[in-house]
Amino acid sequence: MTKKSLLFLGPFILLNSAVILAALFKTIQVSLGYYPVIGLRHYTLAYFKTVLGDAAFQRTIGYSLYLALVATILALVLGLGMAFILLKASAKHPLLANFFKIPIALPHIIVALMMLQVLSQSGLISRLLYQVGVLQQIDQFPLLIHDKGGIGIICVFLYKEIPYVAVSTLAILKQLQLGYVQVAANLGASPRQIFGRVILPMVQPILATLFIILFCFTFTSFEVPFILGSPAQETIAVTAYNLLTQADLTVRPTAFALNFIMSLICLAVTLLVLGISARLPGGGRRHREKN
Amino acid sequence: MKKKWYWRLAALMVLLLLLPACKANQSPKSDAGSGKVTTLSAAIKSSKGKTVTFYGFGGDEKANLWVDQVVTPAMKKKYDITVKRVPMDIDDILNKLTTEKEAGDNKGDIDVVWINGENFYTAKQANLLYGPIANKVPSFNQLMDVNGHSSKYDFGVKINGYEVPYGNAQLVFGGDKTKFPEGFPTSSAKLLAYAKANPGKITYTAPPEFTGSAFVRNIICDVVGYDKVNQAPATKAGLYKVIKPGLDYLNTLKPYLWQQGKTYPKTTAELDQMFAAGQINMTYSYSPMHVAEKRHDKEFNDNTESFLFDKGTIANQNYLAMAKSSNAKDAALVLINEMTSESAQLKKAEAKYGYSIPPFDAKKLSPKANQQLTDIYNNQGVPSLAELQQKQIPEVQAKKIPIIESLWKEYVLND
Repeated sequence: MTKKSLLFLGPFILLNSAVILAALFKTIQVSLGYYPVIGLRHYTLAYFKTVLGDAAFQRTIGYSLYLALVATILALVLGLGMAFILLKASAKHPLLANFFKIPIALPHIIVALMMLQVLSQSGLISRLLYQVGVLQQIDQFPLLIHDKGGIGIICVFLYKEIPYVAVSTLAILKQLQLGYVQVAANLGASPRQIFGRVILPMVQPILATLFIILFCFTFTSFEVPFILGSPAQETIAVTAYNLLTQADLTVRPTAFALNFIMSLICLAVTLLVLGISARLPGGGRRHREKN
Repeated sequence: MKKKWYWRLAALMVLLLLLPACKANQSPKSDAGSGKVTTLSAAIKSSKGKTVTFYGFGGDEKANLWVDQVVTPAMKKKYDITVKRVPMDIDDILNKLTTEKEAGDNKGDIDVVWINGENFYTAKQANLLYGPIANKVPSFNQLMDVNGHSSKYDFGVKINGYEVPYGNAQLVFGGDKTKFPEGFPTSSAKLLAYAKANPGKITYTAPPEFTGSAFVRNIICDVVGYDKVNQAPATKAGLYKVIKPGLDYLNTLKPYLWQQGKTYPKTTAELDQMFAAGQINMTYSYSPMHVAEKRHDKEFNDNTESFLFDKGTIANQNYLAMAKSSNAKDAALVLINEMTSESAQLKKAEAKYGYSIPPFDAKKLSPKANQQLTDIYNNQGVPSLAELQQKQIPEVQAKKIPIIESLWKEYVLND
């Protein structure tokens, strides 16, 4: 690193260390049982053992993984599909893509409340169908909020994340359009070669990056499952929040242990995806460019 | 190169981890915050021109309006004190106080806190409040039942003068009387019978939602009796043994609930919405005037009325307390006295400020004030003050609440 780049990166690194490292450090400290406010001064692994050994906590972790993976994969697939459609349509309607930027600007909590008003059994759609006569009772409307499958939660993530994926990949797809595919075909590449050597190397690094962003975000999301989730199926963040706001301060180390495990899982998934991406065609590109 | 960098970071982390352990051995700082308060008259003198903050739940617009339109102008006019209302959830307030304490900050900007129950227990556990102050507040001595249960215990936690009663809350049910031709279910047994005859028309908000948690406790008290719950040990096993009939009742009720009890609404706002839409036939609230408010706002129809269990519903009070780290304890004392004064509280009881019930002892109030209160509550579809006071169960001890919630989760929700 040159001195100049240090100068520019310095403020960000400082800010990051102050905010993230301090919080992380505090999390580790409390989760290891050091919490002098209530007189806990001895380091112990007991809280991690509680969290990892308890069936209820394991279920929370499993449920969070399920929600995050379903939402992330669906958002990536549908978002990429939408990007292709936007690409084709953008020649005729250049402003169309801007329309899909609206959901990106809305906060998750607003979208969650919107879904609650629209999708619940006493919500807009249900009442509309009831007024029209399709439903005899609003109870006949399927349960999409507070349901065990987390459909309402996934709907919020998809509403927010599909346009995000589409807009992010659109720029890359536009490069593809510049003629790389035609050039490869002209030079005699088979469709398989075109995909493996041209499309995949260009698209997969951004998809991998998006996967990491979306997974970490949905996995740790609090407000959406808090508003729309089923009480019987909690995500890690909601469980940690419930523990943290309990009257009894002695359960706080457990909440922090849960938070730390949540961060570790995010870190592990990030490293895994980066590793896979680096080994795929196009993965080494970034390094080569640097050199 | 890279590896070394990681090792350095790791070493740094370990070092940081050990640092506070050393610091902890030093003697703790003496009394945090500045100043002490002796009497109200001294406080009034020394607090002139000061600013005092009021931290409390900001989601109740009518209560906010009362602070802004009644308390703040009165404080300025009478004592030349500026009141700053800071809306913040009590969890965040306690976190802020805890963090300030951990950081050794003794000039906190939280002065007066609106608090009760579990949170008071937390605050006491972490030693975040200043006191005792109740005996220095004239409106407490002159207008309230100084020896009453709620002046001495908050959710079973000894108050010792660290809180001043501020308002009343009691669990009250609401129902559309046309949907209960045989009368409202005024006991857990009648509620079960009604649910069996009308499957899917009853539900409750899932604990740890505040009011849903109270509903579950109320059912448990109705089934096994308050005294048994009160005397039960505050351990998971001990409490389970005592409240098991209550949990069994909730499991019997479960298949007749909305969605066969497989899921529950999560907020009372949702419960109210489902009730207003006719999806369920019963709602509830911790505010005894809830039905009157909702009828006034045209959200509930005029057939909606309140009812209580014959054996009583859970009642508690909410309180005002002073932060230990407060920088303006004298002004805080003046504010607490003003907020609990007769003139301010009678305003708070009016419809536009949320029909709140004052924490006063009816025997200590003037006949005129008593009459004024009675008139406010008449003909609103809500129980009379006398009925409310007659059918009350005290709150169970704060530390039992999370245990009951986790037992509910284990044996009712996930069963």
